[in-house]
Amino acid sequence: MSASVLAPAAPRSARLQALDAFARDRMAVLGLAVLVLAVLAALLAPLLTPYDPTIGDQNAILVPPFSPGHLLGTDDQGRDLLARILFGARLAFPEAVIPVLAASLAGLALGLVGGFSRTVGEVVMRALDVLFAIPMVLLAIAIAAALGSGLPTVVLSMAIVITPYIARVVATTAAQLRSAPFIEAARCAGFRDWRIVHREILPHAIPAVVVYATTNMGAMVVFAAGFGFLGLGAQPPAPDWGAMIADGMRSLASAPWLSTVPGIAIVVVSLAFNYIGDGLRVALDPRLRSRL
Amino acid sequence: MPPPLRSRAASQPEAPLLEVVNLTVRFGSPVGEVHAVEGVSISVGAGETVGIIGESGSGKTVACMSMTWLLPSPPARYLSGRITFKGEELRRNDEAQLRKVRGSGVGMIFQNARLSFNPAYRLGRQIEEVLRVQLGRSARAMLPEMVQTLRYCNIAEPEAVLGKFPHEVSGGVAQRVSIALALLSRPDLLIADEPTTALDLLSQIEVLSLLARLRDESGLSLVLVSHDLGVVRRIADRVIIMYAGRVVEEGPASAIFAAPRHPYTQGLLASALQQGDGERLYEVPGTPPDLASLPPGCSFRPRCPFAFDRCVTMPELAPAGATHQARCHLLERATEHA
Amino acid sequence: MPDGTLLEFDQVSVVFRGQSARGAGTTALDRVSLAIAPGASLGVIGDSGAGKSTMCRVAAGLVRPTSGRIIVDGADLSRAAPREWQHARRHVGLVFQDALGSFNPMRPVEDGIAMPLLSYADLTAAARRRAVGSAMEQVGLQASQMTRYPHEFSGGQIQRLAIARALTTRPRLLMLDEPVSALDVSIRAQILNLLIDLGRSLSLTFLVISSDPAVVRYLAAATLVLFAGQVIEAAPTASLFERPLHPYTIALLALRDPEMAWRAEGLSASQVQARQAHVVSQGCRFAGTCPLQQPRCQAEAPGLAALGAGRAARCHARAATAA
Repeated sequence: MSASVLAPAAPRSARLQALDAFARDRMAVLGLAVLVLAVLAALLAPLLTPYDPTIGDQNAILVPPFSPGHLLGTDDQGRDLLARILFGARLAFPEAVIPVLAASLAGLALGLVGGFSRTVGEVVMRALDVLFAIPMVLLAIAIAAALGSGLPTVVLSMAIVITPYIARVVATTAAQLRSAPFIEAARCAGFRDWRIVHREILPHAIPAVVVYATTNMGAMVVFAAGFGFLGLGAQPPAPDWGAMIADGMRSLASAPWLSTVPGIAIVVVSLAFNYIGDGLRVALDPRLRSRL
Repeated sequence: MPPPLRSRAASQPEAPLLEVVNLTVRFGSPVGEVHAVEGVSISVGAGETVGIIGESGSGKTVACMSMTWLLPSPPARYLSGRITFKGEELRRNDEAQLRKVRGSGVGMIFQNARLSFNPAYRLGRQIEEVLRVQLGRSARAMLPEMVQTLRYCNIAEPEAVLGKFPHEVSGGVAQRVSIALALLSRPDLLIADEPTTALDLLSQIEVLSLLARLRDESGLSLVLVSHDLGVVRRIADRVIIMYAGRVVEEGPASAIFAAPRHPYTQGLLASALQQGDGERLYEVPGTPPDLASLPPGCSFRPRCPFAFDRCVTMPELAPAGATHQARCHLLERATEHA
Repeated sequence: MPDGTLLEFDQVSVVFRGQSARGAGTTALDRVSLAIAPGASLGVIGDSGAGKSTMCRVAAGLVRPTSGRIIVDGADLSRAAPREWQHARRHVGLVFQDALGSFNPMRPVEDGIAMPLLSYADLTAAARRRAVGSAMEQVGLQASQMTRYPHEFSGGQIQRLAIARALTTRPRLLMLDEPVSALDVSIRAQILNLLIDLGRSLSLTFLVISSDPAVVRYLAAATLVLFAGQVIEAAPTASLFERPLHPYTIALLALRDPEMAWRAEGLSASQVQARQAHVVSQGCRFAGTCPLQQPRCQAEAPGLAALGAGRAARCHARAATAA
């Protein structure tokens, strides 16, 4: 036992402690800073660049990066790449965040029932197994066939695809805790099931989901880019990062920046999400954060 | 059936079988350096049973594991210490020598025997593998001896047990199998770290009487580490009490249990043996110190009912009788007054 | 005496259905009867597999008895709905075997201590906090430590917190499942003394379950010895330790007291273990290995026979000498 336990307590709320722990994780703070800047840049895109992302300048075709007037160069239609990246972020962030948020809520609910209840849970878990068996890309293509290409399709299909993963993370947590001594203590203290789930299990499930979701948002940025690449996402001439990579592929040898620039944007954003997720994992667990 | 062990007569007289001199082991940790073992010396004579008593954090397990330099370094930092086994110094970086000693000189058994077996393989197969690696002998050649040793360890149906997975046997059986396995390589010394702690009462009795029988019928030396005074009392010839990484008292079991000299030993004995005023138990107040921030002076001072001005300095281990030593300033005061 | 008892078991059996279809199920408790009157604390000792923890779980309402009646504070709860159990449990405090595990690692300990209050008492948040604080002070901790997390406490402190939780509803009966088994020797005495003191100052009655016989010695007026789900001996605690009667009890107590003269009458540990899994269709489980064996032991299973002076044992030989 450390001496600090004997010292009079300096009551600090759990939230403050978590914040403090997060602030001490340098990579997480850096990730958060990058993300905040990226979101601001997306919101302020019209102020940051004089160019329209969809209209090209026929006099400035395939200008290489770091040229005067075009920091990141232009594409084969003379469109400024910086403008396309900035406006593209307005697509990339909703594509990553909305499906993960939706899937987190659905997965949390399904997972808690699936993991905690012995009767209904079985049904829920089997239904999720069916979803797992369906190949992700195939499902997305099917949804796109019904709804057509575009942002709603991307969001919906990604949400459906991620939900079972998140539900499984939650269900595993809930099932492990189902017979934990502190759950039995709660039962003996007269807690009903709903109270046990929301007071005792939810605090364990939420960090698991937050961590899984943030780490996955990085993957979602990549995944959404994949949709664009396949032509299922936002349609040209919208500045979809994935579509930009796909277009750039054709002239990879002569103008490598066309694919590289959006590629770097995707990597940076997904890394930022990953580091934030890692920081949250430690910050949300009182046992881990006290080890700092 | 004769036990598959050396007889007591074969053991060498005089020189200790194993000698640990001035061992200091520390660990780095985020809250500071953990002083796990500080200047501990332990000697084990041939055929002798030494009991090491201590609570969690007393350093008893670290001291034991260090007897064959078993702790990986880092995280362990060996600051000092010399270990001699059968008159030969054990060098910490001489892997070949250490492997030989660990394989056939010194056997070890641990608290949770079932966990020390791989759950995926049958017990027999794991024992065969250990024997092949350690002794270079084939399982076929060893089988009769293996069965005999298991039987010696009170395992009624050795062949059946060998065919079982670790989870299929009780903790008591697993512990006796692990003792049998240690015995097969005919060690001179068996180190048992809390061998009965994880067991139910009757298995504790079984394992203890097996260890007592080994002590009586073979020349095996035994180091028995336990927090349980009752367990140590039943079989130890000599007892070492550890507190906060140091030896605080050492002597023949009879002397320690009849007339303990260190206040910690006295308190431990009184509370463990259920002495009190009849309605309440005797209790040692407070909790063991944090090994990362030990109080200055005697580590037991904050809990000691007899602490006085001199206790702000660390007392030395001083004689309290012909073969009895204790680390307490009260001893000096007693001689000064006499 | 159905009135005035805090907890009563009447011929309670618990049979766990086997995992496979072939097994008829394992009998964890076999027609166990007991009655705890206020002030008459009861100890239960036995080895692992004897049914001690099942007994505790039945008394806590976590496991339903297969047959028999459970009476808490005069109310028969054997078939009661969870709501009735909850009501009856208000006056029963529970201290779990795994004290650290019984606190949610993600929540400050005050939430864990307050659990019974949330269910059983209608208090404002501030009043609840005060109740938690005073319960913590009762067990020798500072109220200011309530915002800390379980892992920040030592083993002895966690055990105190678990006791504090059980005290919040001002129980009359405190159930203790292995209250000190996880603790260091020097801390054990502190916790046992705390319980002794609390028992006196709050007029608590204990049901204390332990595999270490020494623990019941200070806390219980009477003691039951369980073996394979059955009560094999019952006696006032003092006389049980002075002179155990059943050969199994003798074996159990011999571990800590090897010099006792009565040891020769006991079974050896390996004999008992061989018998533990042994299912007998007739006769005493220990027939064939018991030093007190009589001819009828092979043919007829002994009942729990009263032997006078509040003692009873499941043994033909003892019953014959008493008669």
